[in-house]
Amino acid sequence: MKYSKQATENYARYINNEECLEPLNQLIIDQACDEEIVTFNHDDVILNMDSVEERSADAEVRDLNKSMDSAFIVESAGGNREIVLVEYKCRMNGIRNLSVDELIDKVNGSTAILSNPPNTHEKYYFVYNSTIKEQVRSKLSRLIHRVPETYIALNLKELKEKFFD
Amino acid sequence: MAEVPDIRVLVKGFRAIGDADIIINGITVVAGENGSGKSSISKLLYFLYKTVAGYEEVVKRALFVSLRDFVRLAEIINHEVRTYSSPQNSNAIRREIFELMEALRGRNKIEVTADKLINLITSLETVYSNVLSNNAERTESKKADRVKRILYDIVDKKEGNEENEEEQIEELFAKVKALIKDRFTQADQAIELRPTSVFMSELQNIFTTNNLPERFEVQEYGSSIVALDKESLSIPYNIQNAIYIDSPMMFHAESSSNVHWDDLSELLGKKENNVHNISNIISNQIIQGDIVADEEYYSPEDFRFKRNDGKVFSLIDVATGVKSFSIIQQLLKNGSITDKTLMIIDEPESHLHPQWVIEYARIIVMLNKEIGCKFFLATHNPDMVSAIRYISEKQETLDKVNFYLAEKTEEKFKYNYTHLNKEIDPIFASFNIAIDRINQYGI
Repeated sequence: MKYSKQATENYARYINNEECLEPLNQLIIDQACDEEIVTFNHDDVILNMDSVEERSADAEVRDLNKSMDSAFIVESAGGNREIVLVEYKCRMNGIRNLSVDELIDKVNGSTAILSNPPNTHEKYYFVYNSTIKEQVRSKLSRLIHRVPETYIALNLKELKEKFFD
Repeated sequence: MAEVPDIRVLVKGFRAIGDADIIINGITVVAGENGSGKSSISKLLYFLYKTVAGYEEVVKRALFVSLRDFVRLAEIINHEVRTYSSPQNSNAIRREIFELMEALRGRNKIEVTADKLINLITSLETVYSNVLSNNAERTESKKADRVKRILYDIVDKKEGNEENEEEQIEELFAKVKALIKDRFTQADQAIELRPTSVFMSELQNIFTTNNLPERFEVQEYGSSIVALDKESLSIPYNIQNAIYIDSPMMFHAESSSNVHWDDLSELLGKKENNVHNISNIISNQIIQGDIVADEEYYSPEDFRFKRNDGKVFSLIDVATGVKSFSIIQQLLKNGSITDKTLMIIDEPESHLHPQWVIEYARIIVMLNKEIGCKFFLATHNPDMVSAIRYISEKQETLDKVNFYLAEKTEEKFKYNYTHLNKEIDPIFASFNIAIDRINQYGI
C-alpha cells in the first residue's frame, strides 16, 4: 500500500480538519529529521495530528491528550485504504529517554480521535535517526510484554521506501 | 601534535581475520558473529604482550625446555652405570639431576647455569668411560651401547665406524658440552637482541600452526613496536602486563592445556592485600561478599568466598557469576591491575544475569577511569555494548572508547573489522537479526 495525496486530502475534509494538512517536508524539518538527505515530493501532505488533537480538545473542552505527529492515507492497488500514523523521534540521540508509556499514549490518543472509515493501519511507525534506530528496535523487542509488536521503529529512509516510493 | 592512538593493532590475513586496524586508547569493544576472529585477535594481543613484557622469561623457558634432553641424558647415564660408581656418588648425582629437572620445569628456583650442567655431564662422562675401559660384562656393554646411541641422537650425528671407541666417546661428550654452551649463548643473545623470531615461535606453539598472520603489527603512539617483518621487538611502555580472561570456568581446571588459564591462575595466587574502592563496590553492591585466598595457595581451588553474612564457601561452589566478579576483585587486591595493564576479556557477559552484565560493564568503565587500565572486549551482548557506551559517556571517558564490528567479506569465512568509533547502532543491527529470526520462526 502506498501514500495517496488525494485520499489524504479527502480524509482531512471528511473529518473537518482540512486546515491541519501540511507539507510532509515541513513537518520533517520541524521534527529535526535532517540526519539523512531524504526528501519527499514537495506537494506531499499529511495531517498534523497534534493540530487535530488541539482542535478536538478545544471542541470537547478537555485537556490535551498525547498524539502521534502525523497521519496519512495509504491505498492498495485494489483501492483499499488505511490510515497510517507516524511519530517522528529524530531529536532523540540515545535510548535513555525512550518511554514506552509515551508511545502507547500517543497511539491511543490519536486513534481515539480518528473516525472510521478507513481503518487504521495495523502497525504504528516511529521514526528515529539511523544512529539509534537499531537500539530502539532491540529495546522494543525486549519489552514485548509491554509494547505491542505492531510498534515499528524505522528511519526516515525506510519510511519513504515503505509508503512513498 | 596530531592525535595518534595510544595503541594501534593491525592484523591481516590470519584465520578468519581479513583486515583489522584496531585502536586501543581506553576501552575497545569488538562485536561480530561466531568464528569472525575476535578471539584470535585477543590471543594475538595477549601472547604478544606476554612475550614482550616478560621477554627474558619466555627465552628462559624455551632454553629450559631445550635443556631437558641433556638432563635426561645425565639421568640415563647415572642410572645405567650406577654399579660402576660409588652409591654415595650415584645418589648425590641423582639428587642433583632431580633438582635440575625440577628447575627446568619451573618447580624450583635453583639457578641453572651452563657450568653446572657441563660439570654434571663431565662427572658422568668419567664414570661412563670407566665402563668401557673396564671391558664390562655383556649386559653392561649393551647399556653402554644404548647410551652411545642417545649421545649420537643428541648431537644429531650419525653413528660412525671409528676404530677407537674411547676417542669417539670423548668427541661425543665434547659435542654435548659444546651444545649446552651454545644454547646458553644463544639465549643470552636473544635476551640482548630481542629477535621477533622468539614471538613467532610462541605464536606457532599457541595456535599450533606454522601459518602466521600475513601482517601483524602493533604501534605505540604511532611508532611500530612489534611487527612480524621487523627483526627485533621493542620494549612497550603503555602496556606492561596483559591479563586474558575468557571464562570463569578456569577455576575448575586443576591443570589445563590453556596456557592463559594457567597464567591467570598463577596471577590470582599473587599475595598482596590492597584495598580499593572498586573492590569494595564489588563486595558491597554486587556479589555481597569477598574473595579470600587460603594461606597456602596452590591453585584456584584454594580460594574461599566469604559472604557478607559471615558464611564461607569454597569459591568452586559459588555461582559462576560470582566467580567472574571475584577474578576482578582478586586481581585488584593483589595489585595486578595497573595503568599499564591491558585486560583482554572474551565475552565478559558469559554466565551473568542481565542485571550483572550492566554491573560488570560499570566495573570495567570504573577500572578504566580510576586506574587507567585498558580493555579489549569481545562481546555478543547488546546490554554490554549499550552499557559500555552510555556509562562511559556519563563518566566522561567516551573519547577513549572505540567500537568495532566484524563484517563478512566477499571471501567466504573472512571478516574485516569496521571502525564504528562511538556509534553502536550497526552492532545492534547485527544483533537484531535475532529479532527477525524470532519473527520468522515464531508465531
